[in-house]
Amino acid sequence: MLEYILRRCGLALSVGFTISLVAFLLLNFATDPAVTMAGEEATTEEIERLRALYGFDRPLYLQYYNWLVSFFRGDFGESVHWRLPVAELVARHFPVTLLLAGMSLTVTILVAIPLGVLAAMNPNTLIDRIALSIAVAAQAIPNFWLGMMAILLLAVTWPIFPVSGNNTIWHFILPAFVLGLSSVPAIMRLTRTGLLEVMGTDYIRAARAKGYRGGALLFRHAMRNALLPVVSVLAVQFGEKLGGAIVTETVFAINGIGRLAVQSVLIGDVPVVQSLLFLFAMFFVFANLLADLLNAWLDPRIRLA
Amino acid sequence: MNEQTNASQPTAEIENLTVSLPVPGGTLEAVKGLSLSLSPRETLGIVGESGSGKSMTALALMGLLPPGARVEADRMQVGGADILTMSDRQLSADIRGHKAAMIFQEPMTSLNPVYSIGRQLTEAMTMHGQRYDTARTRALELLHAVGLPDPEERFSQYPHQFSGGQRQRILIAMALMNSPGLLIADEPTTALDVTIQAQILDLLKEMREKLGIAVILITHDFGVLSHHADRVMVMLKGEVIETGRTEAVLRKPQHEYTRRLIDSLPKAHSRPPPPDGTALIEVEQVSQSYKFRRGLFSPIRTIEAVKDVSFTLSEGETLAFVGESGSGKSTLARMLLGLEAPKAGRIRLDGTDIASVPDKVRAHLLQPIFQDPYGSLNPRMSVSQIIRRPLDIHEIGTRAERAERTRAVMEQTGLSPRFFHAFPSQMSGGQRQRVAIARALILNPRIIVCDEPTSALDVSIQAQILTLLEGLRGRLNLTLLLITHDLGVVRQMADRVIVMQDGQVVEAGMTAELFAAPTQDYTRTLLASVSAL
Repeated sequence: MLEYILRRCGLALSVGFTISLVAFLLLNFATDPAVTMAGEEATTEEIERLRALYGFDRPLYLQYYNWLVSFFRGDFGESVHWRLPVAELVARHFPVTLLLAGMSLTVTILVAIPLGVLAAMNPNTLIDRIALSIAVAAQAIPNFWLGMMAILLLAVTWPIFPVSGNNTIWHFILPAFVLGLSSVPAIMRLTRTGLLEVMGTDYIRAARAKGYRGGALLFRHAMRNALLPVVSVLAVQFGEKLGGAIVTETVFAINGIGRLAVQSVLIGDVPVVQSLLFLFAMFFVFANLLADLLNAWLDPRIRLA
Repeated sequence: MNEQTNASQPTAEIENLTVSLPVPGGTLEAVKGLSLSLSPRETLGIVGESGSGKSMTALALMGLLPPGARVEADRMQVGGADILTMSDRQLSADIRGHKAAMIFQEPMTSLNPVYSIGRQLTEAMTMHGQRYDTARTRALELLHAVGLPDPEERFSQYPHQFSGGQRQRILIAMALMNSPGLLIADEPTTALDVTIQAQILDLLKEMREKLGIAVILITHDFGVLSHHADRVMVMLKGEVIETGRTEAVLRKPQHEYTRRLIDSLPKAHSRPPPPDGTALIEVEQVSQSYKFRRGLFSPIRTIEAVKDVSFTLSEGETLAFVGESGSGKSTLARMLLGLEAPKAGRIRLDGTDIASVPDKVRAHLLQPIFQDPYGSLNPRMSVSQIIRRPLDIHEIGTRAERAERTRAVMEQTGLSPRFFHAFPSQMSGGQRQRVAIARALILNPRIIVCDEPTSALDVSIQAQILTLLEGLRGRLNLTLLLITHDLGVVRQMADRVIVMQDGQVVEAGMTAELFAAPTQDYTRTLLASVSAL
């Protein structure tokens, strides 16, 4: 097991390195960072001054090396626009996003898994059809539209929830629902097919012959097997929510890192964009690592292989 | 624990059972008017082919029929409890795993992969309110009894850490946890290697005698029943067509179908040895090994699948390779078919080194037939397209000529012309295997490599396919290379046998001589474990 964990961590680390290199190169090839930072009305001298100041005139490998070294020291550079260390900016915005992602993941789990179980227990019945219809509808509705409708109905027409911002936990409920619902279709279908498949296996038949039935059969024999693929996908979705809540954060004016990323791109704040790009990618790497470890914990065939 | 049934009362009794299943466009009577009675310590064998209703009868006794199935009977009791009037809840509390337990065909997949065997054994008792300690003691006791090595140490291990035979032992122990009066074994050895099969059947017998339980042994193999059942019941299309003491039925079968079943058990064949033909395949000291690693950073391991094997196959002869799974016989076949190159040694086809035989020439010389007629035919092509395909690839003949040749091989292989435009999904297993044979024959090859050609088929179908192959061999002067784990097939078909184990040749010789006087221990074990008549 320890060997497995170490191997997975090693793999995650090497993926992280690759991503950091790609992020770095992309940014340097796609733009001239000094020009972007100087803004539209800057003079040539101004651009050259910035180039020298931030070391953009040095060879690329040296720039990358310096960036990497300072990154591991916790120094992500300084934001041009906010005149603050990027680390401090991230530290300020990240908890907001983490809370939103956590809450929306909870919504996903609470809605999708019971729906999937219900559908699987009553395949090809009205219940199954209704569950599938909910999934299809949730998949078809774009996030921004659902967000705006939620604000219009539940914050403006009937002012139950606040319209926007992130001051209290109440502010997070609508966006968490909107973000959480977007993952419901995939997870619900995966739970349904996984469970249906497991219910048809020989070991479930054997468990029935042993005297298991109903809920006990479902929860004590089928669920763990059916959830193996669900856990992997959930972990990846969590990574996606940490990095990709851009639309939801913008619609609800939540000051998370998704919104920070959008603003930084618009004003050409290169150090912030570069760090966030790497960070978003690392969320995925981390989420995948988490999924691998969770699966190993759930499945002895992986743990003891 | 269960209340003991007194000796005069049968352990299980069924009178006039009818099971109907919903099928598209009506209902199917899977079991019709079946009656049986079983005393303690008695083994009843139910024999029949797939679809004969033998498994449905067992599932009815457990109350485990698929949803929608209708059960009607005058009487149906297990251990004194009337199953007909019980709800699903009562059945699960009192019958399943209690008065009646069941083991299934697939030991590899019948244990839940994510829970330890200890948990799966003990829960049979704890789920009914017994204490864990009691359950654990009982489980260890039974694991000892079924002959699992080191039960205490292996108690917390997971199913994937056990072999197929060991898993079937664990499943038998699991079935016996609550001391049931009746044990139903549905094809308990079909998925296991021959040597293991015999061990499991002996174990069932031992448990029956030790614990005084009644056993229903469901099988398609009369050979299994001859040694292990007191009485047999022969089923055909849902009906019991013959029943009686095992010896009596075997000696004097009353029904035509029973006679066919008994006759279709492969028997020794007496074919004159073929004249010494030219050597079509010469294999000299061939070895094959695979390198693999489990993950990116783990060390590379080597598996030697075939070690230093030599043999010659002469024109007109039938040579059989026998061995259990993992013995290297299929690897050998893949090398002969040119699907893999050997790591060492030489293979010559008709005098030429296999490496320098072009694919198209090799295809004319040698064609394969595979084990699984369900998997080896493209489901999206019609029968005629599948059979004709080699002619298309080799660009032989005009369209009309190809169709003509297709019809001819279909006739040779006993396929009715009405299948010409049919798809594999519309055919039975035996018919599909005929399509596979027809496809192999269409190029007029000189050698056919048959890799377990009948092991996916029912016995009476097996016999038909073997008879077909024998007939074709005579008419077309084919040379056969037969790969199988079924010694019955070998005895019926082969002139010569090569016994393999762990990639090496253990023993080789003429079939009759090798069966009569095996010189190696392994061959003796293999022969002894066959349930012959």
